[in-house]
Amino acid sequence: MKRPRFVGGVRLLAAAAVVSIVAVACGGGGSGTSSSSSSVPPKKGGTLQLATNQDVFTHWDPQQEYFQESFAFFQCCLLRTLMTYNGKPASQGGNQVYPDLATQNPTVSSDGLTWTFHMKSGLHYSPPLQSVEITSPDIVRALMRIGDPNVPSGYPFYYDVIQGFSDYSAGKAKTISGLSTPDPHTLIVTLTQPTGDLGYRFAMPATAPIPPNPSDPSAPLGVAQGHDTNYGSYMVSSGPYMWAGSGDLDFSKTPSAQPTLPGLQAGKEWTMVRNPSDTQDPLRPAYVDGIDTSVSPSASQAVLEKEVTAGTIDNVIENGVLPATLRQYQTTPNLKSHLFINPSAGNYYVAMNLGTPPFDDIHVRKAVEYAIDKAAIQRIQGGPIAWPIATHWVPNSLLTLSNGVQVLKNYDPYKTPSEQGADTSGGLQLAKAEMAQSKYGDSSGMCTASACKNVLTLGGNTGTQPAFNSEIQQNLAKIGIQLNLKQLNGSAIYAKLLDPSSQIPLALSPGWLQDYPDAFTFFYLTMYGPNISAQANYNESMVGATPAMMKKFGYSITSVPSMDAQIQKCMPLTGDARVNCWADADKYLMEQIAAVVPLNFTNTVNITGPRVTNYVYNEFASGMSMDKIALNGGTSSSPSG
Amino acid sequence: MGRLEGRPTHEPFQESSEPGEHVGRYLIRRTLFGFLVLVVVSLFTFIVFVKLPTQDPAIRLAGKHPSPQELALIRHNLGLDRPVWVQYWHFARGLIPWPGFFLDPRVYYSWYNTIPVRTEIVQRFPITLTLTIGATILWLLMGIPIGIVSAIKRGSAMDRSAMVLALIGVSAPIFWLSLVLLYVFHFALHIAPPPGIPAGEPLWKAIMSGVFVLPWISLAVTNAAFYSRMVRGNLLETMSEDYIRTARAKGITERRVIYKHGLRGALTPVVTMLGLDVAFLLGGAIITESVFQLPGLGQYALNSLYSDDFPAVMGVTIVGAFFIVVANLVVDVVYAFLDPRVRYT
Repeated sequence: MKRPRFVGGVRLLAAAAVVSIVAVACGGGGSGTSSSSSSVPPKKGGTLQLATNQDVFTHWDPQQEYFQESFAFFQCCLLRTLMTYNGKPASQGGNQVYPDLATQNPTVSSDGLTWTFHMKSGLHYSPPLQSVEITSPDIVRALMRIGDPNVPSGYPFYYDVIQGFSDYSAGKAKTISGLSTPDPHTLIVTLTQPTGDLGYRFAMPATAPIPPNPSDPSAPLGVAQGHDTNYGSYMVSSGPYMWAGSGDLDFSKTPSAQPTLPGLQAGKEWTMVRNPSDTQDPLRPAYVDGIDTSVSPSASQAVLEKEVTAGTIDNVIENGVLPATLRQYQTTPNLKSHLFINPSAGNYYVAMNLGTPPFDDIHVRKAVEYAIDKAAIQRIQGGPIAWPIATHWVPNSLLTLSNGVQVLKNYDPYKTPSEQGADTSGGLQLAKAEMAQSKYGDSSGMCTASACKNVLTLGGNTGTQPAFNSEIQQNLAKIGIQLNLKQLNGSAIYAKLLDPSSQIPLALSPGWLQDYPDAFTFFYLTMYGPNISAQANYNESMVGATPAMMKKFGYSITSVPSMDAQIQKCMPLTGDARVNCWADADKYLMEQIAAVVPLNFTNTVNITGPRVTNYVYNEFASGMSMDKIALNGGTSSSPSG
Repeated sequence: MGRLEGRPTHEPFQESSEPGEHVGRYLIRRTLFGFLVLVVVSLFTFIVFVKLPTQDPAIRLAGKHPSPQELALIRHNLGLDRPVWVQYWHFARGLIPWPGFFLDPRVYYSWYNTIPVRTEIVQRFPITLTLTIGATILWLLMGIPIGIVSAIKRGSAMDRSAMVLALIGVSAPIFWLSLVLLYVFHFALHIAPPPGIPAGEPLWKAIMSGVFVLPWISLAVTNAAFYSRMVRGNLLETMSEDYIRTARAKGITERRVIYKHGLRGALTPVVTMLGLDVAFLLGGAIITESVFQLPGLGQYALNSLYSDDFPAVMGVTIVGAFFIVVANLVVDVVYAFLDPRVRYT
């Protein structure tokens, strides 16, 4: 998934850089848990007060939104989908999908090409469509909007596997041939290829049902018709909450004349209240009566966190917690229980471009794997609390079998003493031994060819990034690789990195985060050759690029390693077989290609105010499960619907 | 008596038979010139951004793995598929200070948070205005009296001390001064409130809680030092003028000589500087707002620059330039009013 505001993870690195120096003396293990321990049953009532200084990008349009904040709100509160998550951590099944609008898990044909979903009956939308039942054509409507050429959807590529979707998206067809609704409570999805994670794709908020327009039943996109870029301001909820004032929506008017949701004020406030229509939702207890989010793009993170500590607000929707706040929560007895640290499925890494010398040589890449001092990087970035060292590509939470075993937990193909790389004699020896085998190195293990000098490298320039860049620069100098380091802001970095013709040999700042809890999302756009694109290329290493692609982007080296076969092998699988397959793909990447040096996995660090009880971590949203939060005292004044 | 040969027909001391007409023409000319300045500033800003190697905003706003069609759609929605000169024209129309034109939300639409730039500016301006007004009052209250006393007691220990302090004040970088004040008065002595304004808190409440005190002092110290030196220098110069000697010769008390005759002339340049300084601050005191976490225009400008949010940068730049242009005009008009030797030409 793209990080808020800065594509691909730089913002996460910058934000996590604000969790910079956490004194190791404070204790590296973290003091929070994945949920608050309270013996008192959660009470219903009250209004959860949140704050954020980051507005969403597309005004809550469910087909366009592509950020964690919006995913969290959609999944917990506003939208139900055929499948969904239980809103808990991975250790409690938070990585699995469960039937939500569906009555049970879908049935899949033996060839894996036909998925049949049966839907619950008697579920209705929020006002003003409280009398409208949620039916299977409503799901079709959502998928049509995802593929609509006039709607800039966030992730349509996940639905290319549906037969006819590509033709519909290209404007060659008026409907999606692979979707059929033999009755109002059945949806049959026909695929072009077996896709083991289709259940996850139907848990994405973009697939949430769109109701028909009672005033215009023939409108293909229902109430979203005419709102190509701003349906969020007219969205009808299907979850336990709805935007305040939802009853004021008036679809009898033309789209441009329709009033917008009063509870959704861009840049100011988002107000959610209970959806009176919502019933039969065992996955979302929805203890609080409402959720009020104050949006202050100009507010500083420090100020917002102080408000949490003071109890003025209950939580800040943010990327990471400031070092000073973290220290305070770790060391203050009555605050410790309001600090929560959970693994989030993200990573940071160094990307080596396989098409540029000296990184076209696998021995050079392996030497780099050994040389980088990951322990020093971890110290620079704030210690083990927020930055557990990564020894392979895919976060462990995504490579967990049904029995809870993390397949690659102890897998470390480039282990060096204390993970200190070339800063130890043992690590340096290993790195040099690899370099000595490369065509750019000499027998002593130093990279001596001219390609080893002046290697263009991009790194960030904010927070701890300069120190981080400097550490890597020193590490690689020990094996003879001299970096020409350019430190830029995130936007400038990605202007270069996303363009494959830039031919950047080394990138120090990329990061990645799951879109949904399946390792597919860690390979599909980053390591799969067919997805290398000229406009927004996240495969910085050019893994799997064909000779034609390499020529097109101006590379003199045209043959690079590929793992397309490994990825394609895993795509149709399900269950533990799928997890094991992705684990094998991870190993293949690390050992046979070594295109990236994983530095850290990420943890989500969260603080809550004093009245919050029953904190539960939502693995999918990498944040707090707002439908499970309860407040001390329960009742307080609730915003009116 | 005939006309002297060679004397220009339009003497600077000639008065027009209709002074109002003179002023009117002057104002119109200056207004048009000011508008031209805004156009040049906007054009320069636009060219810089077109040339900067920033990320395509369409990619930022698109999901991952956008198709070329999707990117084209977003670029079209943002107006980026139009010729460069057409894009500039749309932004340039936002310079017209008229409802429906000025910072048109359809064009000045933040690429970072998709909020109209005008909305952000309107929300943030009161904070910058509060910061500016408070600091201005403070530095005038500090700088002018110090400058007067220094000039009157020239060469004394008080004068020397004041000028040394002024030198320190002028030399101290404002970010350093701000951080020192914050450390001493908030972190060490716990006298000042924490920096920043809590989300949703009204501005008046923030003012009453003292959030602006340290930022006012920080801004005021630097400017007060400068103004005290300026007032001292001007007053010393003015006090050596012939008309001051004449006033003294007439038996007017020294106090009256200084305050009624000397100060008027000495403060005239101060008016000029004051107008420009205030206008500059109204565009956003970037450093002060950043250190003290005040969500004003300066912080907005900085954040917009970091995020390559061109519409926001353009909007803030235009607003800042607008204040400078207006201040220049006001100062020139007031200056002519204050100094009878100056005429509108």
